[in-house]
Amino acid sequence: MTGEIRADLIWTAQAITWVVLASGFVQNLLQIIQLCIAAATLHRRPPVVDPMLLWQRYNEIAPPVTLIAPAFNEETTIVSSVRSMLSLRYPDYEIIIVNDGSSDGTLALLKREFGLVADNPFHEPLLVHQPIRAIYRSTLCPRLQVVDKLNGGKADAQNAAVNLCSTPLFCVLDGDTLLEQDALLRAVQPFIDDPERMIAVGGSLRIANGSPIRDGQVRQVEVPHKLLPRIQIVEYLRSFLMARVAWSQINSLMIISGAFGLFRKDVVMEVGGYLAGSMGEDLDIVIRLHRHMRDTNRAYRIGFVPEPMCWTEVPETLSVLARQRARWQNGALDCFFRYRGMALNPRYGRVGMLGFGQMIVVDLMGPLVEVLGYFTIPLFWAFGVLSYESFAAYVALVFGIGMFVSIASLLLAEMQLRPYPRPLHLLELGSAAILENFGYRQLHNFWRLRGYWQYLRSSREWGEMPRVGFAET
Amino acid sequence: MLDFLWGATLVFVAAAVGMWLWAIVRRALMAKAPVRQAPRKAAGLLWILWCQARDGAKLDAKLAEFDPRTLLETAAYALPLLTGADRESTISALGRAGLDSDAERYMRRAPEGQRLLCCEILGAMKSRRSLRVLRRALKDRAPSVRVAAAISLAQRQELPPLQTVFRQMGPDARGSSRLAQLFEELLPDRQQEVIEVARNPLSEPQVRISALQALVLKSDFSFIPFAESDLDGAPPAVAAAAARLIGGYADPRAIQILVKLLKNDSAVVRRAAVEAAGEIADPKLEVPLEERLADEDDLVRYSVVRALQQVLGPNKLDPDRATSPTRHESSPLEAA
Repeated sequence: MTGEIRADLIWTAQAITWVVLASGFVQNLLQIIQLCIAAATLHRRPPVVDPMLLWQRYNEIAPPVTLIAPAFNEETTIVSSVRSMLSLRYPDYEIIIVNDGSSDGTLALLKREFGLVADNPFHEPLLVHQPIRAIYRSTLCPRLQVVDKLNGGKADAQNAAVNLCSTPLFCVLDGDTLLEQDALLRAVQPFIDDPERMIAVGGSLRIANGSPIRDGQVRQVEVPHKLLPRIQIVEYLRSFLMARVAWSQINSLMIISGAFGLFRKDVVMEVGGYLAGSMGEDLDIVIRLHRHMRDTNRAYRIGFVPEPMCWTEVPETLSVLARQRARWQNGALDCFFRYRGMALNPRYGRVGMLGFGQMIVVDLMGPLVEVLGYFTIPLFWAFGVLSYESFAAYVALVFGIGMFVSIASLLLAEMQLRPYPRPLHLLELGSAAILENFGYRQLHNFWRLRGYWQYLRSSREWGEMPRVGFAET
Repeated sequence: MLDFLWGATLVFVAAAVGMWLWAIVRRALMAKAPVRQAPRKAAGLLWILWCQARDGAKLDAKLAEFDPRTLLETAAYALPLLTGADRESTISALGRAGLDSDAERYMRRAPEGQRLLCCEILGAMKSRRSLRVLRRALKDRAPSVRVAAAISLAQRQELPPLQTVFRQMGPDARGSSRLAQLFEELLPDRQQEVIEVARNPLSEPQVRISALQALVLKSDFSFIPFAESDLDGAPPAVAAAAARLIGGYADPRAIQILVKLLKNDSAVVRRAAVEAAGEIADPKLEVPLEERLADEDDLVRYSVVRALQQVLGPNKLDPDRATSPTRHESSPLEAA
């Protein structure tokens, strides 16, 4: 009997180990495939085009765009962000800032800095949102409008602004985002090349921590001194330059970052705008766009432009980062289960099979299986079920592939965009790419598990995201 | 199995470290090498050399120092800055520096962005060789390059008949908004051909929209007399674009067309016509707009309210005239 139990235990341990290994293998394989597709795509169409040439080429035919930036308690960064929006090189655009019931001095600061006066434009309240208290227009920059409304969350604020926007395209931004001057010119290119099919375009984000800012523009690119933001730089390069370029290439991009995304207003209206209360409104809207276009059998594209579009401030402390990542995981699960009917459904083509397939492997199973591996594999090794050699080889391979993918993303960025000017920056970021495997990666998976817990508790808390503010020089 | 795992780990780690060190060394060497002349600076230099010193030999000598890529980018910056004799002389100098042959080589091997740039520059060149390259580029593998080649050929007044060009460009390129730039280049000399494209029911909607856009951009409203009859049977996207264009340029002759489009079967067209009517803001449009307050489509009704405000002036519209079952409580109209 004891022998049978022991045999069963060994079988179970080996099964768990194989599940953990297989999940890790599929995740790594996915990353390597993404890397190859991204490298081929970027080689075929190098992203750097001089802004002056872009202006010559597109200024006459660039469609008007409305920039939409919800702001909730953003008093440390809002003025810099608005200034960066006002300094954009684009022929025809307007800006709508939505003060989403801030309890700090966001609105007062905007009023003072930009000379806001009450305005009463007619708008189409087709998308539902919390009541608007007042609408202001800047006397200094007439293209700037500020909407003051009751707090309803980011999606709710975006809906209010979409109702007010009168242009065929709108660009959603975060209230703490600093835009590159030619961001819009670059982002509208896919709409100019394919105006009928293109319905949304995402852009790359870069991290502004540590870089000096003046008049809403990053004046000199620096790598932050702290390790945590450095690791996040590597993560962002991996996510934007590798994963999103690859997914957009096969028209299965599942997310356009809430910090920068350009959308066709009519199609967003057709899907009913942003889903208020969603924890992952940026993921949610893109999935709904895919579903709507496939349900109505229309040809469409959702694109991604790899050039850096904007700069954002990332958390510098573990506690804030943990909250952010748990919220992202919560949002991903929320969206996955809301649209689960699309998952692995051939009716939704690549989006259903590949896009949702990737969500199952990375978002749904990824953290669970990896954390399970953290506990069970050492335990099995300690009890002699697994050999030390197998355990060590498994761990080394996972770390080796993780390191390879991160460094390859860094190299991809260096070859195509040269985002960091000094050799020392590459040294620092490369070290971060290695170090993230020892401690950070494991912590990250625990934070994602916390996101699981939040999802199961139906928690809708965004948590405090204290801002340091951009380092204006 | 274990050997395989360890071998794979070693390969990945070695590749990662190798790539990392290579990137650092490459960057360090680049930092030490003489700074390559930035295209923008080169353009400035070209400008100064030619327009101030007026010394052709000096310009030739300077251009001969440039590597092919810098020459290409320099031309892209410099040519839009120059006009008249200065431009012509500079184009000749660029030709003597071998830009045509560089461009031909780039068109075969370079990535899409540089091929596109080549096409744009070759539009300014004069040689037969560059013409040959551009004609070949109409069948390039990238749609954006095919469109750029067509625009450049149009600039050189060497564009074959439009139907031939469209066939060569293929459906991908025919969907580009840049066709408007192509049609603009053809105006006014080939106006009739552009109008035919705008009217042709067999053309794709985007092609017709671009043709209309080009005509309006050139303030050529010659399509208006026949737009009234043609737009009736046009696809909604074309009719809506025509309405928007008419409104954007507020041509008073357009009122009759808009009145007709306000009754179009498609809500998209009706809405565009309503918005255009608001832009024109002619009092003659008040009654046709009021009739649309009972439109079955929410978006059209909301646009009518906005347009009526533009026609009548702010705060002149009685809120009771614009009732709607789905109006949100935060609408400023309620407050008014």
